[in-house]
Amino acid sequence: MNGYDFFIDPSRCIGCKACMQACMECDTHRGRSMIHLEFVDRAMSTQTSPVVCMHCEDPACARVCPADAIKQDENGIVHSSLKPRCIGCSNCVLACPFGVPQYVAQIDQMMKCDMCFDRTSIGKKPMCATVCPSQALYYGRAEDIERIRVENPIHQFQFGNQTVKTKVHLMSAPATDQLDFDIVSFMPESEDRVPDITELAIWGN
Amino acid sequence: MPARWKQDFPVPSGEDSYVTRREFTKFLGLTSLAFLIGTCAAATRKLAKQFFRRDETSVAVAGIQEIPVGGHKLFRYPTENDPCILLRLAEDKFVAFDQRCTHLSCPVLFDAAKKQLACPCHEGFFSAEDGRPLAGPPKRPLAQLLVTTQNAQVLVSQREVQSA
Repeated sequence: MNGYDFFIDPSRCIGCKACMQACMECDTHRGRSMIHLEFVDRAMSTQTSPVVCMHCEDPACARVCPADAIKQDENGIVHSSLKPRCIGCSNCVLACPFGVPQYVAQIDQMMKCDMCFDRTSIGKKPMCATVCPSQALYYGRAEDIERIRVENPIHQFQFGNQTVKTKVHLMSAPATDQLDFDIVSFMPESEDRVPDITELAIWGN
Repeated sequence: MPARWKQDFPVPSGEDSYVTRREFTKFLGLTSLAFLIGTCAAATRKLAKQFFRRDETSVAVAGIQEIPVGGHKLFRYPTENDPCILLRLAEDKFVAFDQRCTHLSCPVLFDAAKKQLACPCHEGFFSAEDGRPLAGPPKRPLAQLLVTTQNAQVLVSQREVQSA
């Protein structure tokens, strides 16, 4: 919005959870954090990665919604489920390739990050980006981030046969224009999958 | 061209044609408010027209000798666009009505034998005594004019006589 974009740099994340705390303090989603940290490899490392909604150009969550409750506005922001429509089926939770939507049982609805629509629509930065001490979450102009960072912002992901273009950028290695995820290799049934240390401890070879 | 089901369930909020309950309620409220204002305006206009009407001076439309008993005369009053009919029911009884039928404004014709005013368009009948509807589609009485006689002249004035 207004030439500003959202950039996520997981390598800068220090796991302080300031973004979660800041998000939790917002009244528009009643004290529930719409951002969370993923551990990259929990058994081996403390490295975390912040997860906000990537605001896909063709959002899978909205495509799978049987109640037509998830809408994308003219700025490309994918909003939380519409209250009168959401039936709490959790299809979106399962469909999102980034694991963003949350099913909230107390209200029987899906809630998700809407890039602080109440703030960004009046020219403010999203709350998480304003508090992030290491600027792993950055909200600003593309030319600025190009000047101050060596990483390359990408906004295209390949999940198996599905290409996902997003509004939010992920800082990635220089000269990368797309991230490929071989989903099958992440699944336990996969043969060429390398088991991590936790699994080895539990299941052996 | 996206699939049919995708057109029916568009993701961009701008293409979503469903009306929310709040929008629909707002539409209903504003429409009824507009109707209320319109009705009040029309009623006020009519009341003001009745209240502030100037008493028109009487106009002579015919001589007494001009019309025989059971005869009639057409005239226009108060403007050229308002056809009226003057009837002589008895030696000293004159009545005048707006000639437009209260159903669909066809001109009514005088039937002296039955003392009725008949509208030929849809078979509407009015009493020649007081203009009340007798048969057919008209429900409202003919607008009656006040008739006086003076100096062998029949005078008609604007004020409508309330029919019983």
